[in-house]
Amino acid sequence: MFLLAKPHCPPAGPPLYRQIERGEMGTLEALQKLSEARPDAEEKGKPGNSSVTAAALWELNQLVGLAEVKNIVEEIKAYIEIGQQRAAHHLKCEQLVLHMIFSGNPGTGKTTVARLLGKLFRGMGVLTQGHLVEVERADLVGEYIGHTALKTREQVQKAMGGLLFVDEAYSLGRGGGKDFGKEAIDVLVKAMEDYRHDFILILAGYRREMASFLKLNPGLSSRFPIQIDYPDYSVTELLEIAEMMARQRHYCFSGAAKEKLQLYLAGRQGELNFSNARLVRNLLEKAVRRQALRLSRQGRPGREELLTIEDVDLVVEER
Amino acid sequence: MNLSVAVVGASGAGKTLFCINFAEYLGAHSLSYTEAGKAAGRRRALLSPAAARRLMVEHGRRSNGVVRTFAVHLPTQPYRRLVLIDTAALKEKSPLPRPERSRLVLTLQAIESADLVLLLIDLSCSDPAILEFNDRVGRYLEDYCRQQGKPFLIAGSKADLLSGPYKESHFAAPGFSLLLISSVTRAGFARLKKMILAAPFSQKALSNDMVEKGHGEDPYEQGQKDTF
Ligand SMILES: Nc1nc2c(ncn2[C@@H]2O[C@H](COP(=O)(O)OP(=O)(O)OP(=O)(O)O)[C@@H](O)[C@H]2O)c(=O)[nH]1
Ligand SMILES: Nc1ncnc2c1ncn2[C@@H]1O[C@H](COP(=O)(O)OP(=O)(O)OP(=O)(O)O)[C@@H](O)[C@H]1O
Ligand SMILES: [Mg+2]
Ligand SMILES: [Mg+2]
Repeated sequence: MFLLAKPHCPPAGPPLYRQIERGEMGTLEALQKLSEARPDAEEKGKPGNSSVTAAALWELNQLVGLAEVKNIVEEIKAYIEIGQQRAAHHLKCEQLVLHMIFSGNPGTGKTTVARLLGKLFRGMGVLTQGHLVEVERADLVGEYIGHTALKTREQVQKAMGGLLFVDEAYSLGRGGGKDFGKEAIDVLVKAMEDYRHDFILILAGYRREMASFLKLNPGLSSRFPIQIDYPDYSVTELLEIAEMMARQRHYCFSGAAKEKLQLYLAGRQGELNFSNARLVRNLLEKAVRRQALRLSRQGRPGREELLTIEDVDLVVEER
Repeated sequence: MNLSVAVVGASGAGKTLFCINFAEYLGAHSLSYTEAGKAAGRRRALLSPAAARRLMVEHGRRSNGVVRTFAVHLPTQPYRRLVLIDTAALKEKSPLPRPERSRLVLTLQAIESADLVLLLIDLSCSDPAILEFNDRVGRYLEDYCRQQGKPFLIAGSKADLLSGPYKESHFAAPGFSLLLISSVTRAGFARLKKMILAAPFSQKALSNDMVEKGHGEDPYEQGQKDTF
């Protein structure tokens, strides 16, 4: 039947199907085989793969909240597509510069989004690999003269074909005029000019610190046409993230636990450098351990109990 | 553009009723469907959703290893078509009896060709063997879909049959949220629709004579709340 028959036969297909027809394989074995085969590995590696693009966008859309970020990504995607189409018509197009600045509190999804952008750009053929190299000051800044340039170049080299994500980038601007951080910045700026088609640089950090960092380095800001702000999540969004994370780990919150979590998050939200989804994740991880301890002290827990995180499992510091 | 969804699950998971009622929910007044499978031969027909329910679901009718495809025009998106593939039930038997083998192949082909895979799990079923089977099916499909960059969803069906508060995480596979749906009350359909339509449409063409247009507005669109 034509709808089901793939025009190009799936490589996992025929031999597997023959084995099934011969009765050598049951349902679960067949599904396992299917999940182990990596038929499209080569094709997926190639740039310009629309299913990679689509999957990245889909994953992005599954993230809780982040409306602004999702819009900007949509814009970037359209910008790249139109650029590619204009190029195909031999129309003049602007240089595609995709270096970015992300500012936002910890745990607002910066790293998560960066990773998805890598996938998106690989899918669109903008980057050959789309991998994310995450670094911070210590990975870039050396201890003696010449060391910093060496270390920074090494990281840039690693990021070729992908994204170089500098977390807490403002810390490169600290330490006054003699600090090697400045040298790291210079090397990065030179690299983003020299290899503009080969990697994308993302400077990330807390909003306040990034703003003053950019103010101190006025030449820098203009080199980053895309600046994305990651706002703190609302309490509702954090609860949704908590439930999503719990679900992914095969847990759920009892009603009382949910209430406790909500109260706690509402109390802490808005604090300086509130750590958003990261706080939620830490709470959950701690709760999982506490629940295990609680259950191990009682008799044989049932499925329900194994799944449920009660309010007593949630440890929230009094403040 | 088409978006094809392979609806998979164990026998009696509610695949057929879901396909029919979801198509109806999306505004289809008549369903164009084709059948494949040894028992069915190849049939093509056009039916109202009510007639389809009578023919395919009511009176304890089992689909008996038929793979059906329903094509639905989306009233709000005139150039997009949703193809729901009601696959043959996944059965845990090893070795597989002869007639089941080609059904499994058809189902696997549907999974491979679909843009999105939707696993239905019957929430009213508490048979540990089936729960375990579903768990493993979910894991393998998840792995497969992740590799292929294919969206994968798990939905718990027959949520209307659950008494008392139930928790989505009870039936979730790692890394995936489980949606609670009921084909009877249509609870969860609004959310599922949103998730499915957010999935990437492919450019695969579907010949026109296979599909009858669905008309009208989505009656559940406005202010539809997920109530169970
Ligand atoms: N209460 C309730 N019953 C449902 C729901 N969905 C399906 N059913 C019932 O469950 C039974 C099986 O549904 P089908 O849609 O035929 O299941 P299937 O997955 O197609 O089963 P096979 O074709 O045998 O693989 C039927 O009696 C349906 O009426 C639901 O959401 N709620
Ligand atoms: N919108 C979201 N939906 C679901 N999960 C999220 C969301 N945002 C963040 N998370 C989860 O929260 C955790 C922290 O996110 P991430 O590492 O992306 O934050 P970050 O902004 O990079 O933080 P930091 O600046 O501290 O490195 C991750 O486990 C991520 O999966
Ligand atoms: Mg981070
Ligand atoms: Mg059926």
